[in-house]
Amino acid sequence: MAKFKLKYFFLFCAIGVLLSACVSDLDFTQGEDFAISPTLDASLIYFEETASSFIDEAGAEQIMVRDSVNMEIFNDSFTVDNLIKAAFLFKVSNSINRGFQAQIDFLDETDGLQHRFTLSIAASPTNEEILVEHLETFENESLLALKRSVQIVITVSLMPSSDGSIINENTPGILTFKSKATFYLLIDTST
Amino acid sequence: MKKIILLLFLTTCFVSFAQNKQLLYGFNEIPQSLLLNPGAQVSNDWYIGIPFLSHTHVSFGMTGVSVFDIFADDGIDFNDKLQRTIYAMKDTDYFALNQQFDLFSGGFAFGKSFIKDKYLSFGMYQETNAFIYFPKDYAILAYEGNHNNLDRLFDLSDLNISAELLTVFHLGYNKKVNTKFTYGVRGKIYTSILDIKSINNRGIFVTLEGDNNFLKHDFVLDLEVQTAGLKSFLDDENSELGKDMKKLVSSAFFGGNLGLGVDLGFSYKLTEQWTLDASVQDIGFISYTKDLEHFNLDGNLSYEGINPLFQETEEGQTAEEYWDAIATDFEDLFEIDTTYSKYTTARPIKFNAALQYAFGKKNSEDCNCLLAQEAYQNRAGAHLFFMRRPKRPQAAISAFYYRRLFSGLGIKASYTLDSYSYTNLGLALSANIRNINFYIAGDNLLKYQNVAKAQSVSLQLGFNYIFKSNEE
Repeated sequence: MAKFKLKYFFLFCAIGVLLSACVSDLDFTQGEDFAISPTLDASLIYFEETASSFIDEAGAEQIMVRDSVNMEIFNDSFTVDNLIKAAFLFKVSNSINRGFQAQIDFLDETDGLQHRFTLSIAASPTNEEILVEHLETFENESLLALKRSVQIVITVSLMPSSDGSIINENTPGILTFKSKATFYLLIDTST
Repeated sequence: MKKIILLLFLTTCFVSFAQNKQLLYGFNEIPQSLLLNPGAQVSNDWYIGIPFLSHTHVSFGMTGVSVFDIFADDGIDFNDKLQRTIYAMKDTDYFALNQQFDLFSGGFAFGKSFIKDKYLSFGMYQETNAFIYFPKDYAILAYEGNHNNLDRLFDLSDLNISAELLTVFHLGYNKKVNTKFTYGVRGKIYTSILDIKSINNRGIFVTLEGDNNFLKHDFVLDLEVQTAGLKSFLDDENSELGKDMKKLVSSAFFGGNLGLGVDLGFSYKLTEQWTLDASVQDIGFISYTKDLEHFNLDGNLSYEGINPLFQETEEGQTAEEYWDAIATDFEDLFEIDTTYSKYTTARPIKFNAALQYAFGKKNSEDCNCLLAQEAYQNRAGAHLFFMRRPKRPQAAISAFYYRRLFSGLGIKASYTLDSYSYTNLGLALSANIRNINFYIAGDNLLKYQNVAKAQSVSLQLGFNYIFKSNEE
């Protein structure tokens, strides 16, 4: 009988050891604080053109070039929820003896203007490269404007020359335009 | 979206597993040890597993991280811990989960002579497997973005996931040739309910300095996900949970994708006290022929940006066509092709072997010639385990000690070395109370004070009704 009792004693001790596992000092609610903040870079618009690109088919100066880019991604719910800052960097270099102006408009779904900025680059009489950099940062109000935008319109205008000269096939110089966007995201589970 | 990202993060952080059952293997008093070695020495005349309770097995393992590392209530900021963990983990770190659940099982001895030398066992169990490598480069990309990672190649082959849910019907034959040699074979019919694999991914994403713009993004994508059994679950017409359950049950009983397999094993008494036994499990395959969906993402693109103002118009290309071409490039890049091709996969083969020495004869007991080994109170030995894995095989070696405490109560302790830890102590117990057999086996006991810190835990338990004619 003593042996029988001992058997059960051992049995319960062993089961006790195996079932005594505990998970302590854990706090899974911490998962609610989950947040990551990746920063993404994306190429935007570029071109590299000689002076002769600003001549139309009839041989006259083309004083304005314009096109639009659909950017529905700003309006996407993921972007709207998680984008906390954006910065657009532009670099323009000019060796043409004419000034240029680039105007960048952000339009909403009803073509309403949400945001606008302008870059100007001076003429280069000696055909030396002139550099202009512009950083457009979207925060607070301007960030909200960006998130309402679905279209970017770029207008490059040829400024009148100071000496009345007109661009022809042989006008030297190059206008280059580079741009990229940096998106600062904060993806968290608290909101 | 956020939930998906969180889920992705957490699953990638916590995946691992061990199918090693070093405690159950060779524990012949437990009928389920026959599932690990069909050629094991059988010590009962017949048994019936208590339905749904005869065998429950859960094990998980992970390398590079523990739940405690991330969720410890230690006042340290959660995201700091998460970041530390992500940066410390490697793309060869993994999470694995294996779960088995007996639906029914049983076995009985038979034979022409008085000494029944043959044993037939059968049953059906459900099994879940998941194996996920830590997708390090995806995690870094999600964590940092490409802004500070110019020229860094993100390796898309880091995505390597497999998960399956299946049932196995099995029938085993065990033959005691003589007092020294016993062999066995077990046939299996696999019914796959669900199979998801994404293991052949290739590709890179890199952001470089551009030629015409600040940046150039290079995408080389060759990603694929193979699924079987998933399609009908995701069908919109079948969105009710009740219908899903019905489908699950019907596919569990030979309604899914079928496969065949075999286990082989033997045990051989080298001397009265030395025994060698070994087994190979799951030499087999599953042929996936129905309810298939194979997703493939294949494309290359080098993208510097767009030139809307002065389009390098190829002949006759209008502005509209230019836009269409760019849109098409991206659509092609991320277009997912869906195909329905059949495939066959081999089961993960497992190999077990053990060499053991029995000692410490109980004086008061006469030698029972049928079960000579039971005359010894102690068994000690070494056990080896191998299993096939996608990247490299999993291996473990254990030293074990078995002690019969009383008639019908045996315990076994093991020390295991494997890729999860060097401090894995396990304990198993089998108790027969009248005809009811109860057993429980647990791994990594040193971590039981706080399982969350354990990188691998395995637990098996079950109840059987056992009948032994030669019981004292």
